[in-house]
Amino acid sequence: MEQRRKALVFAAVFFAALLGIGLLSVKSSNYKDVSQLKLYKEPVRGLNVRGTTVPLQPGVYLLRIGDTVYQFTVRTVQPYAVAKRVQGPPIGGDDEYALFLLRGGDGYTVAALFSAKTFQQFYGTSPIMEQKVVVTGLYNPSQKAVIYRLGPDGPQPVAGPYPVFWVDKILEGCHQSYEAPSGKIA
Amino acid sequence: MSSGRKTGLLYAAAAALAGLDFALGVYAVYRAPFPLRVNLGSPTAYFNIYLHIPMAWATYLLYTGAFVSALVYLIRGGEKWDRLVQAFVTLGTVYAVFTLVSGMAWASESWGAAWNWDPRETAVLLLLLAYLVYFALRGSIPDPDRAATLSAAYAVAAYSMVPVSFVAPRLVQSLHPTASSFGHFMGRPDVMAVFGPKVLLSSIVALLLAYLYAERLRGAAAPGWVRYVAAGFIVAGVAVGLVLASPYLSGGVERVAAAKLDSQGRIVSLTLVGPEGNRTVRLPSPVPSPVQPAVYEGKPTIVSHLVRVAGGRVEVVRHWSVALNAAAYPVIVGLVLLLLSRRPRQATGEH
Repeated sequence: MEQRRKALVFAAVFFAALLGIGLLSVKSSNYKDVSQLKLYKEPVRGLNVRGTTVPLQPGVYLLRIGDTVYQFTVRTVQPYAVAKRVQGPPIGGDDEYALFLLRGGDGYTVAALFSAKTFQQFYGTSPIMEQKVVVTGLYNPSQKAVIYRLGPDGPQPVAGPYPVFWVDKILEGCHQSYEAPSGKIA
Repeated sequence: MSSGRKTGLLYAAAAALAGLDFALGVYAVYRAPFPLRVNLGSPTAYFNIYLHIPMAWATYLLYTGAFVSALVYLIRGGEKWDRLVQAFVTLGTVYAVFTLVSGMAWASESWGAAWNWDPRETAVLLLLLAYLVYFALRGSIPDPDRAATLSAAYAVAAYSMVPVSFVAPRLVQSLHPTASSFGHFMGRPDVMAVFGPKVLLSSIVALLLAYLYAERLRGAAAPGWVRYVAAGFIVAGVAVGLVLASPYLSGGVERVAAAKLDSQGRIVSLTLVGPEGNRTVRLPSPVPSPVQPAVYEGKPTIVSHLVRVAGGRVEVVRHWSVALNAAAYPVIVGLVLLLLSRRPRQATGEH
């Protein structure tokens, strides 16, 4: 009995210790905010980063990354656009990327590019994206993206330069999915 | 009532309720409601609501049983409570593994990756790892009294991971929904009509199986028919999994990237993305959409679904995670019953 009482005390202390360790582990698994990417001066891969998508306004645009130029069209205000390479050498494995601008808590913004083929495989061609998005991939602060708007006077810079984030995966929460009404398979 | 007869009745109850639970799971993946429009992937992946979540709840319940039994053992002693601790931890660990695997399968479609270091995912992994240590601890102490006492103390301490995993989505941003966003969907009568009984049945089956395992540790043998019922569950699970997975086995599964509907909501053409690239299929004649309602917020609800198009028909294909999880549950129940049906070792006396 004495042994069990001592074990009970040990259990209580160990419970509190494990609870603390567990809570710390969970807190440290929180996603980084886009604004924390400022701390990285070299390319870094595998970060899970959360940001708010910046709405893209209607228009025809060019996206320049180094010597490579992509073109995209925005028909209605939306969080992303599909940019197709029109000039310069290819970057990465694709000629088309889904582009979205991710903004951190302090306004720091990156240009996130995700393979258009993979994007459309998961999202279709008219997806719903939450305003807050979590992505994982390669952050390359030495690559800068500049956005130009095509107008009667030619291309005019309208946004950037933004560091580029090459997205491997969009980690989506499902919060908004539960807001939708229910459907059935007939 | 004799002990043997009581054990027999409990096995019958467990088998009957597990059968009902399994049948409800199959009904759910064919006929239950799911969110009409989802952020990512196929909406049919959300049939996992009726498979993954009840098992997660059962996992928490089993570990709570272990916690309570361990506390009672440490306060009052008694081999009965020690057996219950062992039984609850064992079943809880089995269910926790299923919870993690089923969740990862679902996340691969609906979250973009099977493992995301999501706070709750991480916490459930820590929970599983913590309770795995229980077996190592118990097995490493030769004195049975000391083994029972120390492992009970450990079972109490490891339970701390349960509240951690529960509150994780509230502490930090999580891919798991919070109770309020989830409750918005669950609160619908047509959803709750399936989800509620599923959670209840899965929980009762889990508790019954744990109790029966404790009885086996005591030396109570299972009736002879249990092994045949166990085999039945395993065969039924594999059969259901094969039926649900058959479209993947026969090929031709593609994702709907865009759809054109006529004024009556019937499908005229589909743009499909598959392993061989994109293609647009114009149907010989418009067909009613297999997803109802066909339109939501002005957009066809068939978009993002996995389908097979053949002979002018459009068949919605459930995501493979649904096939896996619908099959895994009865297989696990069958394997547990098979273990319980094995002749028990002679139990040691009370002390």
